[in-house]
Amino acid sequence: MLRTIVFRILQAIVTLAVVSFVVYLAGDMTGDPVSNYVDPLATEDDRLAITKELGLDKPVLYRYGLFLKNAFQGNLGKSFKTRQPVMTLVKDRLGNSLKLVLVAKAITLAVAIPLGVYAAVHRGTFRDTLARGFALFFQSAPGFWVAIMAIIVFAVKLHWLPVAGMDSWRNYVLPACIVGFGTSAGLLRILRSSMIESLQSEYVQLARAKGVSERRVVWVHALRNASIPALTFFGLSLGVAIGAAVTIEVVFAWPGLGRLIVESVTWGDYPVVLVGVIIWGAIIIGMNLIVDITYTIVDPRVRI
Amino acid sequence: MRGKQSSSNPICDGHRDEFGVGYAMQGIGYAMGPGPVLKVEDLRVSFSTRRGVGMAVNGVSFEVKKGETLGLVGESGCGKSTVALSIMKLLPRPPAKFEGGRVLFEGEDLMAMDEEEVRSYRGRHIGMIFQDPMSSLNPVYNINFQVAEPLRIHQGLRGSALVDQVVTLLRRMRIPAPENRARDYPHQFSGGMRQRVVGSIALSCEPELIIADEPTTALDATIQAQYLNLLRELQEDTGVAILLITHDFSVVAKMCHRVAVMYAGTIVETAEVETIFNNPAHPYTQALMAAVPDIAAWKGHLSPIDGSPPSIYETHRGCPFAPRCAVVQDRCREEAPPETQRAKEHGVRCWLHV
Amino acid sequence: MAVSEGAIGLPRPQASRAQKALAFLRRAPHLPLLILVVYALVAVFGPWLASYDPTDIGDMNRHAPPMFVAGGSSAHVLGTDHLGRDVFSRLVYGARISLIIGVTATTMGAFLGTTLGLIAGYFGGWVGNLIMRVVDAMLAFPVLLLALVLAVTIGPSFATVILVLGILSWSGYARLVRGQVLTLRNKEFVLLAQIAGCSPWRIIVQHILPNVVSSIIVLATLQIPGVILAEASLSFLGAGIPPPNPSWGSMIAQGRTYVTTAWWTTLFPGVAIAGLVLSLNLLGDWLRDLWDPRIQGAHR
Repeated sequence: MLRTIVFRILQAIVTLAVVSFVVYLAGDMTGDPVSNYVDPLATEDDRLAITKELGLDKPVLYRYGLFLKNAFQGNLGKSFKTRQPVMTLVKDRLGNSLKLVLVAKAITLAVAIPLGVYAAVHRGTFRDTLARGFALFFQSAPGFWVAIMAIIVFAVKLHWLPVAGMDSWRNYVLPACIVGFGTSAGLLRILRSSMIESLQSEYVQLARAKGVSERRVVWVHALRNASIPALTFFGLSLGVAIGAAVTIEVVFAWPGLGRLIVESVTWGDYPVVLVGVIIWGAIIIGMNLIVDITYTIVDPRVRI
Repeated sequence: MRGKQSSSNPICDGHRDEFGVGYAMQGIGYAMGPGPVLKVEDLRVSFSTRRGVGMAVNGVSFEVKKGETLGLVGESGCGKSTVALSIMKLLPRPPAKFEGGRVLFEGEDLMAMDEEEVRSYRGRHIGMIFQDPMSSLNPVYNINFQVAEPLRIHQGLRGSALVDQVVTLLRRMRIPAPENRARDYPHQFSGGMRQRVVGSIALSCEPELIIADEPTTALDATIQAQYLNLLRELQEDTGVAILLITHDFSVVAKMCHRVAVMYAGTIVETAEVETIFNNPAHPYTQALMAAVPDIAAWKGHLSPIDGSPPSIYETHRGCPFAPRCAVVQDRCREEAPPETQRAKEHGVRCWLHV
Repeated sequence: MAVSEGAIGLPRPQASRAQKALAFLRRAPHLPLLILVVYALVAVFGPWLASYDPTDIGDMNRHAPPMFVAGGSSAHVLGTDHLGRDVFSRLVYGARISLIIGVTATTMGAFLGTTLGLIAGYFGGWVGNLIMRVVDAMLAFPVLLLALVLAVTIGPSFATVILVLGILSWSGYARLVRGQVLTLRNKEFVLLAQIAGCSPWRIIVQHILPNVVSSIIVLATLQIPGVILAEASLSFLGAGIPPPNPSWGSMIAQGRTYVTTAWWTTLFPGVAIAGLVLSLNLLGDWLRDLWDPRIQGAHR
């Protein structure tokens, strides 16, 4: 088990190195970041000074190596735009994004598990269609559009919830629900079909034949088996949620990492983009590792 | 209390020595109890699917007496498993629908009970063994959890009393080192051992009846024999009645006192086991006897029955076996034959014997 | 369990191709199929349907409301946007953009992924391992963020969006195809072909590929809506189809500023996306249940 975890962490580091290099190269090819930050009237000498300050006078591979070396020493570089250390810029933003994504994933679970089980138990009925229709709508409508429409209805017209910011729990309601509902459809679908399979299995029949109540049959005997395929999907859907959170952060002016990355991309502020993308990647890989460990708890047949 | 009753009244003696056809051929090895444990009267079950409504069980009647093993035999798809599940009211409804009849367990009609009442019979008075031990145990819970569950539900056992009882049950099914193995998961057991675990679940609350649906079909031949021996011993010890569903006549020969032969949702012949083997009356039973490699009367060749059983979705007049019957008469195609008693414990549905 | 129709390697009853296609369509979910046909027709015959050029600011009649709202006129059925462009005409041209990007990027991803999956599955070895490691990495990454970075880097354009979304959507196919090839590789008909001396590529193309095609189609149908949503998101963030092209995503982004007063500029493009994506999802789910219930679409 420990060996597997170590192996997975090493694999994650390689993955991150590859992606970071791609992003680094991409950043390098965007042309001349200097012109974004220099007074158009500046002299050639000024430009050279700034190029040197930003470290852009060295070849790409050298700079990438330098970046890696510094990163391992805890120095993630400086923003082109604000000249602040990237670490300072990213730290608070990351926390804000994580809060949003975690609340959203909690909502995903809170929606998908009961609805998936409900739809499976009542499969083929109108209630089943209704449960799946709800999830399918949020999966199909673009999150940023739902967000704008929700702001109009719940914030502007009804004044129930705030338009933007993150001052209180009321700010979380709309963005977290939209991200959470959006990724609940896939989970609901998988949970529903694996629940249907599980409910038709012989071990569920045997549990019923033992005199176990239907409620216990569904929630204890069938659900634990059905949650195994759902768990994989849940791990993979974290990346989807983080992607969805980017546009949602933009709409709700949420001071998160996703919005910072979007802004930095348009500014050509690549040190920030690079670190932001790598951090998200590391978080997703880490969470998937946790999902894999959870497997061994849910399914005794799995030994990682 | 039930356990005491049956152990103070040993029913079966003297059959532990050898086993094989001899056991069944010896005939009455069980006591004639005061009344049947289970009495099924004119049971009718239909299935509605996209292909239409089909009568899977069409007026089935039989009874199982205390300490007796009744074999319910037939080709696959004849409705025998449907009968087993409908006794426990475990069929998914829809598509299944109970169309009529009674299932009397010690005189109480299970069909007239609500879900809650039936549940108090499941696992407590009626135990169940399914065909495939690989899929009838829940892979994500350990053996202790699964064997303990009926004891918790029906007998309210908790704590060390519960653990002790689980170990006792596993030991009774001859599972080696039960104290340690109770914590293991199903995938850590062989198929035969898993089926023993299923057996201990079925036995856990000392039921009056065990319904075993093809219990040994999925097992290897040697394991099969061991398992059947074990079931027989338990029956001798506890006097439990067994409804054994099978398509395998060697299992019938080893286990059953009486046999009910099912064809296309109806029982065509009921008789004591030696009558079925030596003197079958219904053409279908006769054909079955010719088709199986009968260890008692090996004739050197097998003759399969031509054709296939009718689909339950086709409506037919007359005897359902008529299209495949070698001695069919005009009347058979027009009118279904009534049940006639040829002898005590021998009923047939065939115009030849009216 | 009964094997679903059209399952791998099952002989099918002979019927004419047209008859089979008709019978197949008859069982398809009707409403989503109908909606998709409407979208496709609109995309193809857009110029005849739209009464205005999608980039034409006309007489600068800004934020004219839709005809069914007070103050609206039949000149602009769904109103005009902040520059006076006809919303309906822009929607019609937007359908073209969405569908072309959805289909081409998905085809590109499917082609890339299938090829790599066939290689990884049939040959295995370190190449196969490398491919699968990259697949794992791709599955773990927030694809939208990468797409954003790459699209901005290359410079937003129609071709960029197709390229980026195509390149980023191959991993699912590779994983699916590799898994199926691993089981097919040991089937007797493949072994027979090997004994008969067929070249590996011939075996892959003639014997293995036909058996995985239905799964690839299912996954592709499930991926198209994801790609369309990704394009909309990119355009919304300003990294997709550059203005003044009428992409639904950028229409929403532009309308958003004025949404409190001119809600129609935001509402209708969203409805258009949701309708298309929903229909595609329903059709994909149906195909999956029919052909290959094990496939899990990566809804992104």
